[in-house]
Amino acid sequence: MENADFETPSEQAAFALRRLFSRYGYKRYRVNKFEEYGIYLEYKNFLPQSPIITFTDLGGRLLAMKPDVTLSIAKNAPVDLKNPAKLFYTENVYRVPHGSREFREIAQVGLECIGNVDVYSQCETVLLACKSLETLSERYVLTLSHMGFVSGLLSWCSLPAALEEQALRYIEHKNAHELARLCQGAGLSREKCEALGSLSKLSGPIAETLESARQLVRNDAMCAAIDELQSLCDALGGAVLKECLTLDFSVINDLSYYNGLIFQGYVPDIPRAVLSGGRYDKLMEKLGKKAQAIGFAVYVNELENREGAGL
Amino acid sequence: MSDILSVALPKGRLGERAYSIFERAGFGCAEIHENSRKLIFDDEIRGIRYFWAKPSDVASYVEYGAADVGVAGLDVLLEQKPEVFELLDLHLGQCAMAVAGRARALDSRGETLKVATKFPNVALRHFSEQGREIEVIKLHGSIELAPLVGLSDVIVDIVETGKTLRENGLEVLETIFDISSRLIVNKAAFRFKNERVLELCRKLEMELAREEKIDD
Repeated sequence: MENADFETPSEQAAFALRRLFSRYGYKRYRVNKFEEYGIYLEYKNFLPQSPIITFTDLGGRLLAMKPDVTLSIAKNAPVDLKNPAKLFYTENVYRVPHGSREFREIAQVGLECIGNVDVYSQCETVLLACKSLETLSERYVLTLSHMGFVSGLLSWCSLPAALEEQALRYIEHKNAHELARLCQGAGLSREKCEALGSLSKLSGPIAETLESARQLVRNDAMCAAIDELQSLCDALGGAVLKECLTLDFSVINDLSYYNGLIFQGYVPDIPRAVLSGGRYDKLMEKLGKKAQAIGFAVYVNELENREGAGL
Repeated sequence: MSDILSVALPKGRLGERAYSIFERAGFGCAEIHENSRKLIFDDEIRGIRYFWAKPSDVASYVEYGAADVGVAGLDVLLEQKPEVFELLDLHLGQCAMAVAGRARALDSRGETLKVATKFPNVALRHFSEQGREIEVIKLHGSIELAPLVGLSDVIVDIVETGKTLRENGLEVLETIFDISSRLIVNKAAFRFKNERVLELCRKLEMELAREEKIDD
């Protein structure tokens, strides 16, 4: 690449992703640098936990340097159910990363599909997530999960609400030992304890893991989730792609905003997820919009610290 | 990313006991017993690398991917809340996180309670659940000294036998949670070295179960 010396790895990645997204017909969507602070307060569980930089504008309104892009797009993008909006963005967000004590400017590139999200659009989103990871590294893993499956099992277990949140955290950390203690403490039956325990351990290549996941199905919601994952897996078909896809229910997002498929992407030499996304119909519902939505973000800034950086 | 599995162990007695479980489970490293000034120990045949870190730093090494797996106490994990997987309870180093001080030190609620501790987040969480305002004084060691010389009203610290406390006229006032060592894994390492991590887990679990049987 001619300009390689002048561009940082994260800038190169951002350009490559923009080319990829526009090739698939996604349109660039620009977001205001500032948003009213109130919106982030109202939807704070949709965002990663972080303080937000605020200031008062000349008219006395409390504004924020945006900590997130998806919320702005979901709120502002016009809804057309016949032609779903296919948008991509490349923006900077401002927040305090986990474990840090300073605000950072974080570069994000991502896409959103808003409108009538059918099987095809969902498939395309996952495919583009894979292709995005491919632009970062030859080797990558995209881990799929489904909030409908996890919340289905939790509602079958009927844990008290206060413990449900804690149980989710244990599932997220694959912490089967503490999860077992919590279930026993709550007086759950042995069958329920074991089912939750198996959920926290379920992980592996998608085809085989789907088979084991089927055995955990206890209600219609879980059944629908598995069928959806199965049809996605079938549609993605290609063997090369399947090698990079895993199923792992420790991938969890907030239950009150995310409802269906969710996923995270990893590449070697970067210790955290570099891609994260999912289906967020419930956020649209809360925003009062009659539309479904799915999307993901690539944390291109993570590439800066990569060993032997360069594409 | 190489296929060597790197393990961060906490320096000290606890780490040595953890290592001996790894060794009995088939993940030994001959170099580690040689008395040398080396910091990192490799076993290329078994594809494993060990290094010793300060116990409270192990979680950071794992979270940032400098180690694929590590052994960390629940005290450290609940204080730092690292983004890692916690795959096993090794049942090592069992002790408790407790509030300690002179008898009745918690009774008066007239003033802000002064709490000396190495674990400010744990202390703040514990007392905020009780709706109690505290002033945290962060210390790095010899926490028991603080209430004796009037630096704090109580301490939040790890208590094993409670002997040091008793000899200084202090006692456990509240137990916050029980502590043991856990096997933690970096989230990306879990994806890219999945089989090795799961094999390690499985064999450690078998070894722990075998030892438990012998103890019975």
